[in-house]
Amino acid sequence: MIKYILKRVAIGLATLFILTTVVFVLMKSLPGGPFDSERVTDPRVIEIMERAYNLDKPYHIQYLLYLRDLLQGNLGESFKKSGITVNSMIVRLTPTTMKLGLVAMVVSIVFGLTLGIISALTKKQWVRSIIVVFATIGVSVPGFLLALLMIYAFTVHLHILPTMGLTSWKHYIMPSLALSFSPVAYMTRMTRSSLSEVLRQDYITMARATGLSKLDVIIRHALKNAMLPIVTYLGPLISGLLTGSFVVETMFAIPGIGREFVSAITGRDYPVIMGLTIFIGAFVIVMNLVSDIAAAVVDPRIRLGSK
Amino acid sequence: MSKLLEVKNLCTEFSSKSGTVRAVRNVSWSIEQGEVLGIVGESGSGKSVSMLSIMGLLADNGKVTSGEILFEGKNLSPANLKTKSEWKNYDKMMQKIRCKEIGMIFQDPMTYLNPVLRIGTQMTMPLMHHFGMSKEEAKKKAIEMMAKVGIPSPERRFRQYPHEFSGGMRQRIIIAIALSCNPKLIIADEPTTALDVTIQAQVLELIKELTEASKASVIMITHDLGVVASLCNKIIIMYGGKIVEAGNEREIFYDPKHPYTKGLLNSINNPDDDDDTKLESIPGSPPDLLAPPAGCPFVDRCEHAMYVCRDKPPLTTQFSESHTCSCWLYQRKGEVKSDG
Repeated sequence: MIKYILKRVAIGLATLFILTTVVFVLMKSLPGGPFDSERVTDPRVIEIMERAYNLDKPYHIQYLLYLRDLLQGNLGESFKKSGITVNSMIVRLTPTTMKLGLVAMVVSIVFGLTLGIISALTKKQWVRSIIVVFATIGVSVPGFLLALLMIYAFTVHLHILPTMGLTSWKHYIMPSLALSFSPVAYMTRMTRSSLSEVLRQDYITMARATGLSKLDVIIRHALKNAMLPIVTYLGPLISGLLTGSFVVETMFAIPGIGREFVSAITGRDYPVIMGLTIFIGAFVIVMNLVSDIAAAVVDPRIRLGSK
Repeated sequence: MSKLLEVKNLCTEFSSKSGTVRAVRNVSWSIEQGEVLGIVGESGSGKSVSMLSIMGLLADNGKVTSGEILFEGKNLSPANLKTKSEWKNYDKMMQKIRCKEIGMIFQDPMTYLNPVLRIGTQMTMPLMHHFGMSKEEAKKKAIEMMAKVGIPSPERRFRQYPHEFSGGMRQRIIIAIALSCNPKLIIADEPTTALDVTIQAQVLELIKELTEASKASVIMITHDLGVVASLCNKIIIMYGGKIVEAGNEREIFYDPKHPYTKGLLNSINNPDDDDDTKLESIPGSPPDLLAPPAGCPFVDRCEHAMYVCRDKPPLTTQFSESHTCSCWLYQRKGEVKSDG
């Protein structure tokens, strides 16, 4: 188990290194520079600024300088907001994104599992049909469209929900629904197919033959098996909520990592783009590792295979 | 001896997209205390379905449509249940009967144990459920059962998962679970089919030993007449959802009446034969139970088939107290018993 985790951490670090390199190359190949839109057009001023930020050096030197800083845990300083380091930006913005992501995750898990279990167990055809229709819509309709529709309905017409910022519990409702809409649908489908598959297995018949009630069989024998694919989905789910927050945070003017990222790209704020990419990348890698370890805890057969 | 379980005119059907599959058609038999009953037939003959009907474990599309299942005089048949509360009472009753009164040993040890639960958890669950044992008591009893079925170092094995056991060991665990609540009747549904030949004999010997010790009756379902020969007092041959012949061991093996039984006996591999002797088989395939033939189910494969066989179900002929056969060939020779 420990060997497995160490191996995964090493692979994760290698992935991060490749990610850093690719983003660096892509960023440098984007047309335009960080100071193109500044009012000062004197080429000498720009030259001085570029020298101050090492932008006058050849690309490979810039890359090595960046790696040196990165290894020291220093993600650099924003070009646009002077004096603000990327590190401090992450510390300031992460809690907001996390709070929203956490709410959306709880909503996804609670509703996804409940709807999935209901549709796997119910004998009523109409209940199943409604859930299937909902799940299909949820998977195919993008979150930002839902966000627009909600803003139109609840803010423009009904005036009951605020759209800007994240200051009260009311502010959470629309963004977290927009974020969790498709994960709920996906989770519902996955739970339903996984649980109905498990309920057809021989060991369920055997468990019933030992005299356990239907409910006991579901709780004590079926759910743990059915949870397996869902646990492995949690890693990608968290990553999905983070990337989903790019759009949702921008739409609802929520001061989080996603919105900052989007504005950094439009402003060619290189250190911020790099820093946030690496941060999010590291987060996704850690979450995937955590969900794989969780899967090994649920399913003893995986532990054996990883030795 | 008193009758422990009596099945009367049992019919079980499955609804499927292409129609109703009549898997068990009007089957009656009984088993007495301490008896070992063998039910033999090929796949799809209705033997396993009859057992699942008794246990109330049919798949969702299966239904017992008529008949009685009397266990110690109590009717376990769900055929006449209508209201929701009747079904609820039936479920409650069956939960007390399964494992505690009737234990079931399943066919495939690889798929009948839950892969994500420890062996110990799976063994103690029924004990705690039926006897209200504490975790500690159940553990003690489970380890005792594991030792009884011949699992070495049961304390250590108790904490392991099914994938850490071999097929034979898993089947021993399934046997231990089925016997742990001291049931009066054990239903063994092809308990050796999925095992290596070398393990088969050991497992059969184990079932025999343990049930003799606990004085439980056994119903042994198999398609292997060899298994039946060594164990059973009474044998039923099923074909196409019906009983074609029933008798004791001597009658079935030395005086088979039904052409199907004869065919089965001919297709046993005899080690004394020359290497050149070809192994006999019964030509054709079992009847389509979506539209079972009106007459004898075996008519299409029978070399003695007559016109009457196709149109009318054969009457049951009684040869001795225990030996009966449903075939038109014997209609005039023995005493005719009516057959619905």
